[in-house]
Amino acid sequence: MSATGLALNQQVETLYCHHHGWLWRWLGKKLGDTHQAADLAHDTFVRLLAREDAVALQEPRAFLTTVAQRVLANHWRRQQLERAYLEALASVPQTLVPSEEERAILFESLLEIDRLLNGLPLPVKRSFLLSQLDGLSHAQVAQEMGLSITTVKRYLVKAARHCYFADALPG
Amino acid sequence: MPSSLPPISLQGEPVPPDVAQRAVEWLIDLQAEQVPSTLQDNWRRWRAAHPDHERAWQRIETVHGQVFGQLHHLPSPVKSAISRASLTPPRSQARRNTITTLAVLLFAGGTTWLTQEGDGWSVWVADMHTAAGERRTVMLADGTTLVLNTGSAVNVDFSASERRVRLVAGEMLITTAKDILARPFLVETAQGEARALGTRYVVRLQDKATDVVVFEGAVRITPRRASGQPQTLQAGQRASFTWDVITKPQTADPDSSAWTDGFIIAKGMRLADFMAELNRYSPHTLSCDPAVADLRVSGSYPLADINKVLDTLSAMLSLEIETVTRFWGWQTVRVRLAPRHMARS
Repeated sequence: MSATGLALNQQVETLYCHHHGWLWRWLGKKLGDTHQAADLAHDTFVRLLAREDAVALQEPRAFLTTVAQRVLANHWRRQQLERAYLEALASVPQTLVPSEEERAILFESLLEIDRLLNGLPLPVKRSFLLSQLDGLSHAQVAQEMGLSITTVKRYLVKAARHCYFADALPG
Repeated sequence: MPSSLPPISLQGEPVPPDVAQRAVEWLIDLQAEQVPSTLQDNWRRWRAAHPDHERAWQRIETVHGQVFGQLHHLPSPVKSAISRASLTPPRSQARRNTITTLAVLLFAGGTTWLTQEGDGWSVWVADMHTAAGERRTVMLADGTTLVLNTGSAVNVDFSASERRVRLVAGEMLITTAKDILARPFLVETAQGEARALGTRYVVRLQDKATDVVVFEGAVRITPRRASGQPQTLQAGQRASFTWDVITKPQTADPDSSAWTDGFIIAKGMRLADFMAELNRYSPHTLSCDPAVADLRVSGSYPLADINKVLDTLSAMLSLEIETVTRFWGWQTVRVRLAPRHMARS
């Protein structure tokens, strides 16, 4: 491990010793569940360890709250998607419903898709999914969404750019 | 299917923004239904022209393969379930969207029917809708059940004086419940309305007309134009109506609600008509060669597995299944049944 990596580990350890209990209680209040709060407090520190730049130690609790809020947002989003996923699967004909194991794997794919398309306007997301996942042609997407083919292509380029080249977005 | 999904990371040097832009433009062009060979040649030349170009293209193939590659073989109702779930707006955005939708509806007001016919947006903002190949049963607040067939959309509007359901697209079977407030139940379409008189009936929206089939009780049809005379259909009857005309009631085919059990039942149906019917349930375009259009099809076919239906048909009638796929990606564009000797000519 590099010297900066080592220093970061020590910083996180210090934060953990002094503020873990406080963070756990803070999350517990937000979630109303101490077990989940323990999991998410753990996730917050794991996320800190994965960082490449130093952690801010001047305002430790403000800093921890910021990171934990992101963990919390992910948690809510995951729950929200899980509910939507189960609801959507309920309308799939019985004979086509995937096995429990497959359902879990597919849910991971759904989370990945959500992450890759996060931040795009809903119609752009929808055009992209209709085209890439449902396999509709540009003309079919245009008809489905009541848009022109030119607009659909513009949406698809925008979504593909966001999905495949998040690190090379203009501006 | 792989047992676990490796996390996707964007490795290596970042791709220059202009190269990234060009790469995704190629992708979208290559996914068109028809890709001219000159375009394919130009794309290959572009990839070879600079290592950055090839790297950008590899990035697309890798991420696309990891995310969508393992999903492409899934049955389409499962795919559309995943895509619908992915479109769940984030919490704060959900609230904002509701407000926008409300504003649009209020603004559009009384003239909506004039612009709404076959409009994708009206389907998308409808209270309930189903994708191609999907079927859904919903129970309304009064206990009435609606079974929505493939590609259907409805808006529900219950007031103090009536229970009104607007069919925006597709087809549904209605089994009305007795209302404690004794409000009338009516289905409105672009062409007019069908009022239930204690009943089980199907309403299907066609391009220019609405079909009504009555299984129990009776239904009174009122076309939208004032000049059109209302008419009452009894159990076992069917009729179609446009803005101003209702066809003479005919004997209903009891099999016309077979879709509610997930089947198409055909009795000596023309192959072309059968394929047009099957097409409603498929995300790809299904058709048959004019040379075999008049072959006759009989039997009951499960809607849950369109591929199996096509296999059965091709075996029974000695036909070839022609599948056209996109140049890039895995998607099927259309499937056609053709005589064996003509296939791939």
